[in-house]
Amino acid sequence: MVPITHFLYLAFALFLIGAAGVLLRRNVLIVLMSVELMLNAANIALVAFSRQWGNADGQVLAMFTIAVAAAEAAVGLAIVVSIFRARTGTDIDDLSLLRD
Amino acid sequence: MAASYLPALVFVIFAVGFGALMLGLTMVLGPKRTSAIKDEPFECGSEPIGSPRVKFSVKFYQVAILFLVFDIEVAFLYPWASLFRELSCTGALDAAGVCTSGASLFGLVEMLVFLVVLVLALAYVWRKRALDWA
Amino acid sequence: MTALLALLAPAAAAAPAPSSVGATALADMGHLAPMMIVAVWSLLLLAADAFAGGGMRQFQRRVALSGLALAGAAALMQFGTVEYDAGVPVFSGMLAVDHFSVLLDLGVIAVMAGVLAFAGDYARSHRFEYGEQESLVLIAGFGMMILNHSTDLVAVFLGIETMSIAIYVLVGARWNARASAEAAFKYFIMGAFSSGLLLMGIALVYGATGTTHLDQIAGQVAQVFTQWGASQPYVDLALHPEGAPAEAVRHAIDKSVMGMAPAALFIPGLLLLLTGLLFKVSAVPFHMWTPDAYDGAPTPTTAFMAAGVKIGGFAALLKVFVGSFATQRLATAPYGWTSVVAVLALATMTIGNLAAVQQSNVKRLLAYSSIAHVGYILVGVVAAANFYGHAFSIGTMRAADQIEWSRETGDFSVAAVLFYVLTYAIATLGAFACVSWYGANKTEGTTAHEWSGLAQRHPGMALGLTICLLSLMGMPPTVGFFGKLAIFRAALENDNPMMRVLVVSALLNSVVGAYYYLRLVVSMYFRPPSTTEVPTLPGRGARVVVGLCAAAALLTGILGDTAFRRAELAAAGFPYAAGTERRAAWVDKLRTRWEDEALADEAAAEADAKAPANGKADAKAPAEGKADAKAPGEGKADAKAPGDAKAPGEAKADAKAPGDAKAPGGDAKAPKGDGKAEDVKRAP
Repeated sequence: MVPITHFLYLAFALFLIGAAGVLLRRNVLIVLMSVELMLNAANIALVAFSRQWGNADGQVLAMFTIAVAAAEAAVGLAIVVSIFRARTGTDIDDLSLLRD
Repeated sequence: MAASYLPALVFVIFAVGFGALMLGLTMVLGPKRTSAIKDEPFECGSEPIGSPRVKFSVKFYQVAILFLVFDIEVAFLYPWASLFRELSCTGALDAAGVCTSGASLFGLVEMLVFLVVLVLALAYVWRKRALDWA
Repeated sequence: MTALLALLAPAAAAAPAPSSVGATALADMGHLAPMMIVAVWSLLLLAADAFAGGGMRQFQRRVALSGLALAGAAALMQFGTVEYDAGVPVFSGMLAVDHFSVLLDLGVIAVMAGVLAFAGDYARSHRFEYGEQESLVLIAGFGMMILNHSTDLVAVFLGIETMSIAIYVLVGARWNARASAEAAFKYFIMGAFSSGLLLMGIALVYGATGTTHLDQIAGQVAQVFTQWGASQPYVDLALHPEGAPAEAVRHAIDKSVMGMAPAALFIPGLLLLLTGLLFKVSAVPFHMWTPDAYDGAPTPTTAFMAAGVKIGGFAALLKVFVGSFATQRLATAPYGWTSVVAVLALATMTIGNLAAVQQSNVKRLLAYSSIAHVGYILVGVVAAANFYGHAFSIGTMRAADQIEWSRETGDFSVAAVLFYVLTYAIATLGAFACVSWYGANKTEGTTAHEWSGLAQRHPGMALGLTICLLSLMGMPPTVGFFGKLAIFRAALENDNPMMRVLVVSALLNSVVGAYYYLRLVVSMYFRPPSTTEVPTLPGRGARVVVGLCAAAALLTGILGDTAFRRAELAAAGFPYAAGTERRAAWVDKLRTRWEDEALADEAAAEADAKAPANGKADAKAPAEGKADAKAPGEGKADAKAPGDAKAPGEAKADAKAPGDAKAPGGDAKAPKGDGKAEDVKRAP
């Protein structure tokens, strides 16, 4: 049996990659993908813990997360499309209309 | 310990093998007619040479977004299907998994409510002409 | 098709026999009536928009508001009734219906009604009218209501996402202004990032405790740390294995890993959860998105975010952190989370206020001021957690009455937080409604100099805005003062230097706040009107909302005590699981205390009546002297809820409201014996 720690290492690695991607990358599509990566990293952890504890709570939440992530991605993509429809690039630094 | 990764290894071998088999079969069996257009990397699709920043029609995104949302909803049908027997029984199932007490519409109605909401969303999308490709 | 029917036949035949699961589900939906009404209405509106199209648009506001009136009436019927004293767990423990959630539901419904009263006018006037607006507001409100009711981390996550996703769309809905899409994108990225943190936090807490149910987590937390403590000797051995047999050392390493693992998962999980929730309520240092998102969003949406999201966010923060993570070790030990939050509260109010001072844009000013208010509210959250932490400490040698006192004061702190959040929501809704009203036809009057001399052109609106600003500032006759007072009192009951520092800095911050609120008021009243006249929003929705919010801020301020009682009732026995005896006992105790106070007042009134013996004292003397005094309080809760709904001329809601308002009041007064009978029934 694969020990739970291995799943957790994978989950933490993905989570950190995702978080770093959101914070460091400038391309909005990659930022979106990084967010998805974070949610799915949490999903891996949830499912792993669910097996460890032998109850379904974690899997239930993972199921909901998949649906929520899809809805979130859809809304995110729609916002990205609406914002960059008139522009050529997808660089996050172009968004500088609102500031102090 | 390492043996527990065996299924993953089998999976990888199968995936690679299947891909290789398919490519190999087309190479061996497929007819070969060459022409200028056929030799392009993507026979139908975007131009391989030129600016990478080609604008796609917004329609592509729209369909992709809709697909993303409606595709995922199926995720809720699987757990429901696997529990349908329990949900349709007023009491608990016996050891053999047979419902000895009365039947219940609960499981069905539950999913119908979910599907009605989903169909409502689909109707909304359809009425808003998001599915028209024109 | 026939095969399908044949399959259904036996099931249909058995249908009359009530299936227990189905019956429970229906009963649960009955308990959640306000929430269900909101959900059904949001779908109705969406379908109506799709199928009736533009022809439906002018009715949509009316339909939405009548739905909210219905939901508000249902919630009012629930609030204060003995049935919900102990709280009713519904949907297999995912949600619970108790006074806490119903009171916050009323707040959310009022905010939704207030926003919808002018959101349509605003969109039409600024040429971005769209048919989904009402539906999206209701969906987001539905998410907030899930948060109010949540007793499980799964529900918390779903509630936050339902709320957020709908609001991302609302923020970006103004397609003819580029700032709107930009604001939506910033809000979306920050929101999605915080959702990721929140979910990972939930996963880790679940990993440490094996459950996502908040009450069960509260029970498991002690175990997590006991296990850690128990593994300490093994840790010592593993760290200093000199001379020990190799076998024993290996055993010690195993034992210490096993012992520390839950705590090693739990603490990062707690911090991630905290970060995720603080993002949502926009506390420093996770506030960067707030001014941009508030500024770029259509102003009605800004009002909704500033008022509604805060209600939902703090409901979740209270439920998770004060309700579940407030054991002594977690909350109050030197490295408990309260010390982190205390520092953040200090930073939040200071940075929010100092940034607000520099703003020349009224929308941004209010955005920063909302950040500052989050700081004040967090002080109350810290106070509540501190008290419960003391009360729930395990193994400490505290006198029973001291523990009792801690719990009572903890309840008081939660009540203070509830009261502050709700009254802040009313005042901020009024202020943003006024900002929405000032501007039409794609021009918005958001720069400060455009507001100078407003009192000469529009005296009524200037007065309304002034009252709302004074309430935000915390001026005595308005309710904002009582909110701040309650929070400070809760914090000062806690005899520790950290809380005193917090209160002093909150007072100093209030002074800074007074400066920029009064600066706006002064410029409205004592400056000459600006040369360019800003057009104002057609339709009376916004004006009615400003008027109602100002009236509510004044009225609840004058009836501060009776209004605060609603919050106290909602907070009674807060950290106990819904549906338990202990929870009911605490509410019962509160009712008994009020009854005793009422009797004492009555006796005093009678003594008064005997002395002067004139008609004036007679009015006070009737047996229900206190009950009568209470009724206005009820009426005020009402003015907040369907009172707003009545804005666009829903006379029906108006007629209904006072009648409904009486019901909870009457029930609240129902003899104590009733509550006892309930208890006995619940006992087996």
